[in-house]
Amino acid sequence: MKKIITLLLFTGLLASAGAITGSEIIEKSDELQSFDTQKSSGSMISHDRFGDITSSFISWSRGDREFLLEFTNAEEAGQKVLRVNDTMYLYDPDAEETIRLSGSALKDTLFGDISYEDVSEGNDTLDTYNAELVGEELKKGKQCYKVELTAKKRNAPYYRQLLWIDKSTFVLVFGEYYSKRDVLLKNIEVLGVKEVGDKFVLSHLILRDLIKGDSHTEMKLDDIELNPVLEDRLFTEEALF
Amino acid sequence: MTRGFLIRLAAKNLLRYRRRTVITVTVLAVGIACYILLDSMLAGTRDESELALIYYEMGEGRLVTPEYWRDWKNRPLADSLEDPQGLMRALDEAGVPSAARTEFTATAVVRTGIGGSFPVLVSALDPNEDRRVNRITDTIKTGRFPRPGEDGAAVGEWMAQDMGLAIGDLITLEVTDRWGSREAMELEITGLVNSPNAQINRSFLFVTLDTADDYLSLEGAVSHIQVTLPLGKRERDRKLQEITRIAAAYGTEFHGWRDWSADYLAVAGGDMASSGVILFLVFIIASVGLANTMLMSVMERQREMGMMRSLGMKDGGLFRLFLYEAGLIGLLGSAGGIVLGLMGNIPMVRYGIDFTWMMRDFDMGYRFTGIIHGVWRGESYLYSMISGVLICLSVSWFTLRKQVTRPIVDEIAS
Repeated sequence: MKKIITLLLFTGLLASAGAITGSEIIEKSDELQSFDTQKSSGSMISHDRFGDITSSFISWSRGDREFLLEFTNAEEAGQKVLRVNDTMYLYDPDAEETIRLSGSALKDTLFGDISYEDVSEGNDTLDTYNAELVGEELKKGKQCYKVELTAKKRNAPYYRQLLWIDKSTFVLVFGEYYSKRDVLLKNIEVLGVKEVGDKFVLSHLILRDLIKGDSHTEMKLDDIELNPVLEDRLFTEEALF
Repeated sequence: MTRGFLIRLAAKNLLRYRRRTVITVTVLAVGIACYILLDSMLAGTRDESELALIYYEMGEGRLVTPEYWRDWKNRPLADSLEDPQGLMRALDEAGVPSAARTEFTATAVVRTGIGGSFPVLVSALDPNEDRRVNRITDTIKTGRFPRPGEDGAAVGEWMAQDMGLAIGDLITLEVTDRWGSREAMELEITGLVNSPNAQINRSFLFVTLDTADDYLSLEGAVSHIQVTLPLGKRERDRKLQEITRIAAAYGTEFHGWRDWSADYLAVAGGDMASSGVILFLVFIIASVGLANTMLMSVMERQREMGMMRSLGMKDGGLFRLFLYEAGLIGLLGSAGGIVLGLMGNIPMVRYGIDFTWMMRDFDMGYRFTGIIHGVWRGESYLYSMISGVLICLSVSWFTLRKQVTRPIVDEIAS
């Protein structure tokens, strides 16, 4: 009997030594989607019961904390959103003024179901969440790791997240976002991924606000340039004008 | 020539050209009456809005943390007041009634009626405690205020009508808690609020403090404490000093309702300024009419003027004669305008004008809900009288100063 228990323990230890953890999956996923700098252009399409609205944009980012987005469609041409660390600035060329956003205002809608925070979120998931691998599942036709993220900081935008991450590429396939009271607030579905060098960029995704229920917003990236040289001036308030 | 003689002569001249005098005086009187009525209405609007702001929205002022005050338009719950009970006890001891509130913004999602989502301002309060400072709990038109511990909400009646909401319906609020984490509040509509404050009826939603505390992870903190003040100026000033002292002792700041209502005050100030613009326009119109009257009067009476000057009347005397004529027109026009204004203002003060149709659908920043009552403003009558006479005198002075100095021969030959 003692021999059997020892064997079982040994087998268990071997299995755990070879198993990947939730944190490792998230770390790998973040790493594959992290770039020094990025420039991309694309569009956001909001679908709701009143119809579709499309906006096009160009965006630039450097690291996790600097991000600039400029709308290029005729209706919103010249409107810009700049994030530098935890502060966001909005610029409207018609008003010729900059609005500074911080705190809860970052949760406000930028476009459709996408908030300012959503578009400028960095790839520093493990700083904010504890990750646990809770299983493996077939999701959207792909074999995935199912990882549960639980907020370890009170300022995490969502208290809990369930992420399905492609086992072969470590790219997000589907995600669910829950509140502290376990209300499913949003989900994200990744429809397209572009491989640029040794990195992956989510190039086509759908965000659904499940509280509003009757709407979803699609985001497409058409042109993606990784690690371009970006001027320091680009991520300053003065550059908005 | 004596002043009395010149004034009598000016009065006779006005009577000689009765039709012209009546038209000019009437124009001036109607303009002044319009100004008086508009001023009365705007002042009434301002007074009613201010009372609605104080009684139903702001109290006389709020105590907040300095950090909250710096960013208050974003309602930063992260900078909430940590020990509201201690602060309220201190205010109580100083004889200042106070009530804790937490105000936050949310996106309301409605699935009944026409459905959809819209921004709302949510005020969390303890109905029993809030009565000491505000009157909002007395404005429930249908249903009731949510009870402590109940996930319920009382909503502005206009908002409920617009969204097709009724008592018993469910509403979801998308919110961000004190720490920045997203949450969804599932609430049942328990009552509809119809207050004399249009903003409350249009865009406010009320929940209890403990519901807000629970969903927003406030852990006993509140966004602010509202206070009320006595009416007498001396007592009021004394209490204000007390409040400021207590606020400082608790690391907070007191800001009166005017500090929180800069947007409203800008609108009201703009409208009061516009009444001044109207007065200016009235006088421009009256000035043109008056200048025309005086010029006509001079042109028609060239020979008469030449005759009077040849008989020994000095230029100065002649000039004063015309100025007296203008002054009398100003006096009559102003007096007529004041009488008309007084008569028009009586029903405005007593019955008011019902603007419900407009306030229901247009948000102009004012807080009153419908009927505007005029007020009696002695200064506007005084301004009207002085301005009416002064404008007539100055217009005449500019118009006539060259006309009465032509050579006597030219005047008699004209």
